[in-house]
Amino acid sequence: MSGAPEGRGPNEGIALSAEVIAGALVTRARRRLATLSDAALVEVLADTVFFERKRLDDARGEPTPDERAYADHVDAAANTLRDMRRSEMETAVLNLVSAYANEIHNPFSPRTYRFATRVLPRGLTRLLSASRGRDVVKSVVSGRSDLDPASRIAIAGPIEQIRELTRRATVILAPTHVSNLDSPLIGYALYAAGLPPFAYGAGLNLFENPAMGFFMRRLGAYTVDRRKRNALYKETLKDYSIEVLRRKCHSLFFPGGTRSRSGRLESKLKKGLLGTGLAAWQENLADPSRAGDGDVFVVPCTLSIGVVLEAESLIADSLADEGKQRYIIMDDEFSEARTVASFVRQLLKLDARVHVTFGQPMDVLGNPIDADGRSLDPHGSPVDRRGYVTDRGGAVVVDEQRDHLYTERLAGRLCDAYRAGFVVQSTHLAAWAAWEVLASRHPGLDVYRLIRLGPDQKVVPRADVERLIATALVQLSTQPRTGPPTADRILDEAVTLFANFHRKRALEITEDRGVRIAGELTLYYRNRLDVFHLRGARA
Amino acid sequence: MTRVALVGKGQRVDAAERLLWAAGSDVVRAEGRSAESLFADMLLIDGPVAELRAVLGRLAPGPGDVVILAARGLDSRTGGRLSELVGQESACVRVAALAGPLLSGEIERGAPSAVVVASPYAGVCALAHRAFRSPICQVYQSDDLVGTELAGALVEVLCAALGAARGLGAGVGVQALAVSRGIAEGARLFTRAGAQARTFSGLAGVGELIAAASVPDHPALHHGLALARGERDPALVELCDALLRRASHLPITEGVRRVAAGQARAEDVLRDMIEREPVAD
Repeated sequence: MSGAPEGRGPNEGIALSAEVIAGALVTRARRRLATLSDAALVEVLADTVFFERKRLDDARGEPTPDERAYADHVDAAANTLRDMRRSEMETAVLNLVSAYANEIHNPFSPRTYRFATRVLPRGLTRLLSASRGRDVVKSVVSGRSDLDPASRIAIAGPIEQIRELTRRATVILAPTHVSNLDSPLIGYALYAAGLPPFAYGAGLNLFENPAMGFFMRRLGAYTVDRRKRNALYKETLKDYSIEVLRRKCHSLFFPGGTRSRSGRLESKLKKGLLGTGLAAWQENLADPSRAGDGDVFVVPCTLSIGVVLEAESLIADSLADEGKQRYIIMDDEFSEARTVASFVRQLLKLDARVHVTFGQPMDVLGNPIDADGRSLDPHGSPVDRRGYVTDRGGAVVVDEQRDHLYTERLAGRLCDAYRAGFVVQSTHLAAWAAWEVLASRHPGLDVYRLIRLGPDQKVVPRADVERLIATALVQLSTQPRTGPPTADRILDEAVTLFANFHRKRALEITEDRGVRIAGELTLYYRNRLDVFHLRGARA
Repeated sequence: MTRVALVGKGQRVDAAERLLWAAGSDVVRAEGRSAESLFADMLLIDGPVAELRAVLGRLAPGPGDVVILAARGLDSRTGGRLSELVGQESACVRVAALAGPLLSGEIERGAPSAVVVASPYAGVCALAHRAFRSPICQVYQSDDLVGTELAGALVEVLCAALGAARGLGAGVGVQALAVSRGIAEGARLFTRAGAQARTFSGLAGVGELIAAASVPDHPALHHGLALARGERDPALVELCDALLRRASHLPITEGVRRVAAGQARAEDVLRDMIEREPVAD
């Protein structure tokens, strides 16, 4: 389960030129505009101008000359919108689409990919062995490697089936999202599993670091500016995804949309990008030139990491606004390079603390598929999935409302797969048990009041926490798990991990055999097990 | 012309067949995966809930099929909704529930009627609308499949209560009480189950109750008449249990369950209902 894929270069979509992709997206937009009434067209432009003006006003720092010119362009559009003729409005919209397309697309560089896949795993391997920095550089340059990465990052799932699917069809990888480290982690897992590169959307802020930006632009990352909230941008982004999927470009979406703020495993997914797999498959079905060659499949992927670098910022954000979070956190722990490096070194010192679990591949409606890519019914019999979108004569029937429901179905199946593939770790168990004991001792208090309790009020008996960990182990007996076998050792391990990784300790052992709970941070790790609806001390 | 394959037996499917004829739909009877069902635009299924799993096994609806469920109740094995059963047993996802007072006698006489078709898939509702709409049938479309299915299940229980009251010789006052308290019970059930409360006040709930209360020999009352005679009804016990798992404080459902299980006599449950202290909703 290692080594780069043999005999398969970068796929067609990932290596498209900016001109080709911009042309394709403008053509799609033009087709859509032709169906709009004049009033609807004005609405598209007005919506774009309103949200763009707001985004530019809210932007921090001094604008660059390009940004200033763009702002002037938006202002001019706003001022002349009422007097524009239809053709002028269409031109304005298409110009915007072209600009968005250029920003979104980053041409894949086979040279950079070859370099990265040759050098980065070696560096990571040396990091995994916790060598000093100088040794890492030496070994990367010399090409020596003496540690199997699989011993540090546990990769599981039907890898061979997925590898085969990437040869014969387009694959969407849909992972859970915990940390900004997820993208490099998955990138490494794909390499280690012998899978080809995947295109993936990365926040504009992640490109701001010149070195990161250089690699990401050339390794299949396309740019997503989450601050652009206008419908036209979102449509362009979806069109981009459809276009590259149709060109057999494997893509990676985080269907949760953003890192889980509360720590909970994803149970509700965003349907926008996820639905582009269904759209691309249908377009391929309707295209005679793609007969028998347009399948799109989805692979769930669950990431389980014992400790999360940004946990404190994420949970603070979740609690601050009860779900109405800031969409992008610009100033979390991830913004400090030294903190990231130190965290990664600590993380990789541990044995198999990072689990990447690929789930069973499914079709774009969430049905399981067999080794030949055939969709299966609940009894395991093959079915012709084309029937979902075609009439009795075999013609594709366009129906957006139906497709939205199909995508909801896929989202539900993905959430089921996330739950099944989640590897429970000691930090989750200990935080869950300690929090439940605390809550049971203060039955009238909600989470906010529990967090605001004084430090001494947040100490619970160690014996109670261990008892509850044991109860959870029984309830989670069929769930994949890693870590020590007994409740006391699970608690000890979790306390040590928290002490090593966070400035604030989520759990701490007191002198009188008590467990002190930090508050927000404990809640964050406790929430990771929320999806299992465990019966706790409060039951 | 919409081609409809009717699957299963029951007075509701007979009534639906007449409505479909009146609408000019092409109607065929089918049992398993035959030419009739293969080329139909939709499959309309009725029959005892306990047999539905077997019917689906024979029919094997696939990705291209549209299933309309005329059968009412909940899955006797799991307590789940019947559309969920279709999803568990087949690759078919486009499912709708057909509700409304489907009275064969009235339809045969050409009396105007109305049905509701509920599915989250707008295209499925539109297809069923085309199949049923005629000068004698108004068709309402709803996206609340969950509510319509639960309404059908609760109506079965409330009709059993009505039938038992009628079997005991209770007057119109008691029957009115059963209907009005049944509506309150529906509101509680729907709130808990995440369904739209107004669905129960429509044809699928109140409409069906009014029909049952107004027709002396309404088929839905037969179970209740048997309860009044002291007969047990295990299928009704299962249905009540499935509803009681979804919401608490459903006194009529609890009462029907006790009688159907042989744990209480119908007259005692009726007396309890009259004597107990009212609970504010």
